[in-house]
Amino acid sequence: MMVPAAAMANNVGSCGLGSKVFEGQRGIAPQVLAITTNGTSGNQTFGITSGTLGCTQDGVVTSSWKTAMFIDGNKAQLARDAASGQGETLDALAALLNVSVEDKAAFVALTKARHGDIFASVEATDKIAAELKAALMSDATLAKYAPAV
Amino acid sequence: MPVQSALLWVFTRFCCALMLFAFSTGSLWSAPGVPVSKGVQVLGAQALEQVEQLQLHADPMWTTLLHYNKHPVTRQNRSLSDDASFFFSKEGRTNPDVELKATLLALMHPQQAINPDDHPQCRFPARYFWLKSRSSEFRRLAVDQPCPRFEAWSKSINPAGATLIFPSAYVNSPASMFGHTLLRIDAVGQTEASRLLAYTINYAADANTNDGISFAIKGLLGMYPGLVSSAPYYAKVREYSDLESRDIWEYKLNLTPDETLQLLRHAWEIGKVKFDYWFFDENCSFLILRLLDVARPGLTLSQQFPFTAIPADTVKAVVKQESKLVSDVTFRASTGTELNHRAKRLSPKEMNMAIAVAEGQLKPEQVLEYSASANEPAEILEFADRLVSFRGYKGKLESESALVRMGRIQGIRSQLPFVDTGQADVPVRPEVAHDSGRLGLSVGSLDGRSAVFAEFRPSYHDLLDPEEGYARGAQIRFGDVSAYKRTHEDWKLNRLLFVDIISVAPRQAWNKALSWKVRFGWERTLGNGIAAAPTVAGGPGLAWESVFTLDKLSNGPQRVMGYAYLENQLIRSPVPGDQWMLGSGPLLGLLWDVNPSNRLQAEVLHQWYSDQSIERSKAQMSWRMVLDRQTNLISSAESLRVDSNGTGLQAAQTGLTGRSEQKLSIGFQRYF
Repeated sequence: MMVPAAAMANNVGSCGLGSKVFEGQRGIAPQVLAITTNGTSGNQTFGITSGTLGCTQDGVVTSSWKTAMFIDGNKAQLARDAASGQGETLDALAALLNVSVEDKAAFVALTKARHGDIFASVEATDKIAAELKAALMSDATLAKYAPAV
Repeated sequence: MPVQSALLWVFTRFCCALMLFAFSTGSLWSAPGVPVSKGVQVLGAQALEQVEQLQLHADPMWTTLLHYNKHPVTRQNRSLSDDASFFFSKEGRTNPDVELKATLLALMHPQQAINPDDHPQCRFPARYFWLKSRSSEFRRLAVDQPCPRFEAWSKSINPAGATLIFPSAYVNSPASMFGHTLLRIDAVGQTEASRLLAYTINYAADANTNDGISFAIKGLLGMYPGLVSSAPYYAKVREYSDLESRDIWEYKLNLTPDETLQLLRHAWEIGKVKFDYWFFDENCSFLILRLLDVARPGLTLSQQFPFTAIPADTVKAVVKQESKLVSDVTFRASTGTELNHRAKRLSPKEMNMAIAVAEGQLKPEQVLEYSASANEPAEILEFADRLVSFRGYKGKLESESALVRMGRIQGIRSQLPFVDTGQADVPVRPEVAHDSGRLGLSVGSLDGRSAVFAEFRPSYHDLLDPEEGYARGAQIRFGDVSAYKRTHEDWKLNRLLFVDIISVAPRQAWNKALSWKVRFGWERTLGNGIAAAPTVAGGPGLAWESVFTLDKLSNGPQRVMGYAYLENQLIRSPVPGDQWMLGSGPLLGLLWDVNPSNRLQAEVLHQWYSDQSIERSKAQMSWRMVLDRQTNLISSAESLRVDSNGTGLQAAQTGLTGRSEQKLSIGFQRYF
């Protein structure tokens, strides 16, 4: 499939993210002592007054990266919601792309029908973004939302 | 009592600590204070005069903004921050008056051509806003400076209001029950669909979370710096809901856009100061309360927590706030809760298919043959998909194979139509839960004499407490101390446990959870005759749950949890000359909820010890009845037998041969 160059350029890895679907720490010791730190993963990337880090500035996402960061942070959930044809991350993605109320059903139907293409590689944010963009462009009604990906 | 307050001091603050006794190295910002030119002093004279007249240095908001606080022990008034860059005066940490005047002059400093964001107005926008709102002279004389970074940040967040976020506990992780709070800053025009995109204000240790043991130790010792961050809400939802499988409570607050903006201004001020993070002094939930106090003048939420700010307790305080701060409450089910809900919808056969698909023994397309209707296969596949994910997060699956399996399941599922699976039941809200401190007093008999039993638990929850608002089957106690006095004898320590955690995690078809327990401190293990000794104990276990109905007790369904543990114990030996002995053996027990206010616990235990061939058996039964929200009636019966067929003489000296004793007690427990 043709992948638009613009989408390819949107490489979220350059943000220093490229987060894994399954990550975290397990075991009894951290469980017993989790209380001492209470929500351990202060993410440096989002530190207030931390300046420019990757695709964030002082803890907020630089606007051109909003969609890529969202996809990166919700890959597994998005794939699940798209397969089911409902779900919060799918709604949020539609909101992020400014999908209108009238086009919402078509958007949901498209991500469901093209699930296999869009989420062929669920760890690769860039691929998901590129395939989503391609899928939107291939649809007459939804093509107008493709540039927002 | 000094012992009690010391215990309270030490043990109730294991939560993340906002360590404001600063080590101010690495602050983003330059040296303390700003040299004040003669011109500024002349210009500011009238404002200074007015500030003096109004006694603004004593204004509660100035106290809040500078984090002035009376030290709970020394009663000295000082700011919780002693990072020099947080003050404009050298005396600022202890002198609100001098600091206010120095701040006022600094805020009137002329524009900075280079690094405009370093201007005092940009470093402390909340102070600047407040001072302008209180002093008309200052408002007239001060010139607003451009603060590009703060403005870009607050514009991106685009505040309309705020929501208090409380991730609660999940089964098998009692430590998570301690909770955490953060704020979500709801954006202008936000809808239900876009709330995931809102930003949060979160305070946590800035830790590398990959290394379990060193992380835990460093966290205890306060070796991490704290970090104020503003990650998008979706990042926090993924962290709590999926990764840790904790339900999330969202308390919508009725803050106005202006109040929320002032909250953000103060968060910005705090973000600049480096705080160390350990378990003494105020913690992350305390910081959230401070932010709310800044947002709305007149709120004094943080003052309600001079000693301790357990996250769940701070949520209670926010909900109870007289001005009706909370306008709406939303429950967000975690992955585990969602699975529990969906499991109830599947027949045993469907459940088996779902598990087989999740485990790769059944191809997802084979599920399609199960039913002519598409609904059942869709639900089975959705369950299987979530189960793979749940196990993947638990680290029970190789991430690579989990992803491939999920991809295949979703591929088939996406060919089936939408199916409505309903919503998970909303549990009892955490704010109605019992308070976390508890005092108990009982009378009865011990080893043939009448006795009085006293107990004190600063925090947090145990298996006999009413569990509404807490996680089922989870116990976590800090600084639990109990003592008794028999007639004509002195008080004796029964136990002093620094940490005592039990997780009773019932096994289900889809979740083969392992229960576990761990505790350490002093315990009187071998009966009345032998003093409480240093102990480390714990072990793995299995638990099951059954729900049934008894006609005679027609109070709805009965819930019984049964459990079996391997109870291991390392204890200081009572035999002179010996050091430590190791004991091990089975413990069987059950928890029976007769009805919502009555719970019965029964346990039997037998342990063999490495030393002097000591054996110990114990049987105990406890019954708790809720009298009102703050009070329980508690009674228990216990029988203990200690045998030793070791080298008779030593064992006889220590009173270990064939001893048995009975304990009976009845009394009250009161939460505080």
